[in-house]
Amino acid sequence: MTLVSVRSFSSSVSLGKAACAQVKPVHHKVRIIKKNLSPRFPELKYPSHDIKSPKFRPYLTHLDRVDHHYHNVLESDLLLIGYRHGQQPIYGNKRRHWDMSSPYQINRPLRKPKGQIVPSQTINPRDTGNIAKLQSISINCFVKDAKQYPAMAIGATLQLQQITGVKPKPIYAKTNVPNWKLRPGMKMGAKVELFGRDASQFLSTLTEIVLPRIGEFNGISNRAGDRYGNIAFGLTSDHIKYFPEIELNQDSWPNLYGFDITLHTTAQTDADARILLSGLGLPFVGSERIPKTLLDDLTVHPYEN
Amino acid sequence: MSSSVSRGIWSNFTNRSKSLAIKSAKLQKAVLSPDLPNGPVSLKALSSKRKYYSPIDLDKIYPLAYEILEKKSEKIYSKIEDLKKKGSENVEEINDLLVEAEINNPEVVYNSLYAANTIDLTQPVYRHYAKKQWESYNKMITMQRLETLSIIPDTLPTLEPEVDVHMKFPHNNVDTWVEPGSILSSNVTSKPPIFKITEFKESKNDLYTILIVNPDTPDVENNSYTTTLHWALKDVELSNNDSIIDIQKLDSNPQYSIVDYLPPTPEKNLGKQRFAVWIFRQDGKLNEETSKVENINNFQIREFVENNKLQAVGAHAWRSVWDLNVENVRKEYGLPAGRIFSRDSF
Amino acid sequence: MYTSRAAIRVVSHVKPTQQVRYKRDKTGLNPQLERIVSQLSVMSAGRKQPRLLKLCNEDYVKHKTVMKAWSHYRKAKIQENEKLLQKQYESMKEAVSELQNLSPELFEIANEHQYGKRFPLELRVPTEYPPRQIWFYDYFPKQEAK
Repeated sequence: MTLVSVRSFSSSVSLGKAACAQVKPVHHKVRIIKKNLSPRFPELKYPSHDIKSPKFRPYLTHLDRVDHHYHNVLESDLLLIGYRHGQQPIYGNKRRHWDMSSPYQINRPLRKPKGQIVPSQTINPRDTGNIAKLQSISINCFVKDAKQYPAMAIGATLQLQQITGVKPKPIYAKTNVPNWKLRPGMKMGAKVELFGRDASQFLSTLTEIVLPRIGEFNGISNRAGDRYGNIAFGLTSDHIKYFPEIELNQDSWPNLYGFDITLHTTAQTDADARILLSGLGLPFVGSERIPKTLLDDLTVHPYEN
Repeated sequence: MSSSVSRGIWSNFTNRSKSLAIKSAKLQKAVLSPDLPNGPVSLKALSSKRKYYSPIDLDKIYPLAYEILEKKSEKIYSKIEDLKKKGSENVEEINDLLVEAEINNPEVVYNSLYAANTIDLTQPVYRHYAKKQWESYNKMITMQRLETLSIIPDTLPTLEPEVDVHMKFPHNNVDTWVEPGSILSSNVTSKPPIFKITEFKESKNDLYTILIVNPDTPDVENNSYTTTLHWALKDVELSNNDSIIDIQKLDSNPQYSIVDYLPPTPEKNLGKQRFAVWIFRQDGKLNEETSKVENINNFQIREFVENNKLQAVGAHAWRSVWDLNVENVRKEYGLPAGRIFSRDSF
Repeated sequence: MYTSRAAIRVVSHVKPTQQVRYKRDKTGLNPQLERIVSQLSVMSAGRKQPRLLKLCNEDYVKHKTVMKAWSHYRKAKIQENEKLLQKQYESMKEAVSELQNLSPELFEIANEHQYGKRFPLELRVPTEYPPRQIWFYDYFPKQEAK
């Protein structure tokens, strides 16, 4: 049965009203940006690279030393180090298609990968397009005692801001642990992610001023990493005092808070990331374990899916 | 210090149009000098002129930046020369290159930002900037109003806009363009509107059809509505530098008119009436037979468009509602007295 | 929020902080609370928003021109760098494939994977000014204790 809508003069309610809510159809293809049509806040209509926009930041104000060093010294060396003649892609374990033996499998999301839940990444042969590069640095400062003294989370936030020059975001407890008196939603510290110039600045402070002065620091563990080129290590509260921003004004920092630093790189494997980071002045210690699958990358692996 | 920064193609007007330069000599000098030799000319108030300081070192970096961009433009112009020598027929490619060659010229940027009403639309680069401007506001607001007022699909099924349509009424000498969908009094709309139709492609003597329809005329016998044709023009000749349709043009070209202007005279208690303006681009001159309209009170716009093979390129709309002046408009045009709708009459 | 001084009171560091609305007295805030307030004011958004530069129309166009030229310049530099890397990659490929034809044994050695390789720690990110002591002539890298 089809219902034909008749717009009659005597009544304003259209016939054939649907039983469920409907989105009104649009009869044209023009995308409408409401912000542009409103007369309010005219300055917000400028793109962020326009000097009239409040979002404008003059970010290219001086030479980025680390970036300069990367492009002039490391990049071509990394290309050479990573190159292997006849290198083949090592396919990751991807989500599988259903065999369609049952009609219920139509429109189902893909099956989980074999033996794991999250699919793993494919590692492509190294070429000019995938030279490892430092992408960002994220710093995570979780203060255990903040559940008891909430003011500590504020101090940790300020400490991160002083060190990095970027406004941190608060982190909140996610789980409920009655024994520790931890409830979800409690402010437990701060985190910050640094990109570009901020990341370079932080990295050079770390490698030139802080790490050389930490007595017990021999290097980042060669076992650290998340398999896909992101390497993390931690600094305790004793090490924080070597940051010049803190050291110059030690009196106003009665308590310092240690944090975890994750170096996000575009490297496809941790081993590649370590080569890059060693060029940026970060030492590594311990024995390195290279997964067997990475070592035989000259043989052709079939793509199973 | 205050000599011109331009030494190349952008100060050479033998092959380039004069409209690519800034008209006012003072402003041109300010834009083409490294610093501001006569202070900030564009600032009007004396106090703000006195308070103003240019950004530090802009005068040193600006000539270098100008040189880089001018050299790039020179390369593009020589590319255009090569194409023309080869006898390339590809007008679009040449136009794109002409846009690319002039898009960063500070004088062109200045004109398109601050003299947008007087730019020369025969130049591809100005058309490019005008199109950007249209897309950022007028196109969106027109389509939004057409959609919310249900003019699409009540009159025509859809619209893919290609031209910018501006409309105003010669009322009281108020020189502002009407925002699409606004409610106008019957006094304002008593004289035919003036249109400005801006094409963003190269256009020389293109022909246009213009229809103004009201899809809200009550049809009590059938308990429905009909569409009334309020004005119809055909074969209106427009080009990039001549885009206005006003009374002088219509007086000198009486052949444009299919149906003379019938002013909106909404009936009392009938609510707001929508008046949709449709602009069509024609392939050639319209056929005398098919473009004839016999009954303006039951006008079939879709049929008319189909019979004449018209392509809708732009639209506009306004709304009218009964007011005290409607009687005067009826008298002026010799129209019959209006009806009053009330609940009792049903 | 924490902007209002009267809204917060911290009794001491040991006890949990409490937010109690109280009447402002002449003695002011206790030092503990004073510290938190000043810490929060350092992080407040008001301090991060620089004042908008107001340019006259001519300078605005000039600024746009400078930014455009700068982006053209940077783009050219990036493209040049990419071209160089591509050239290096092509020659590496060519050299190794030639080596493969000339001497398969040497090719085997040359084509070993390089995992575990490190840049020397002495490699420094260059600074704008040289150090006071330009070169350590007597320097030898530490022998790894095994």
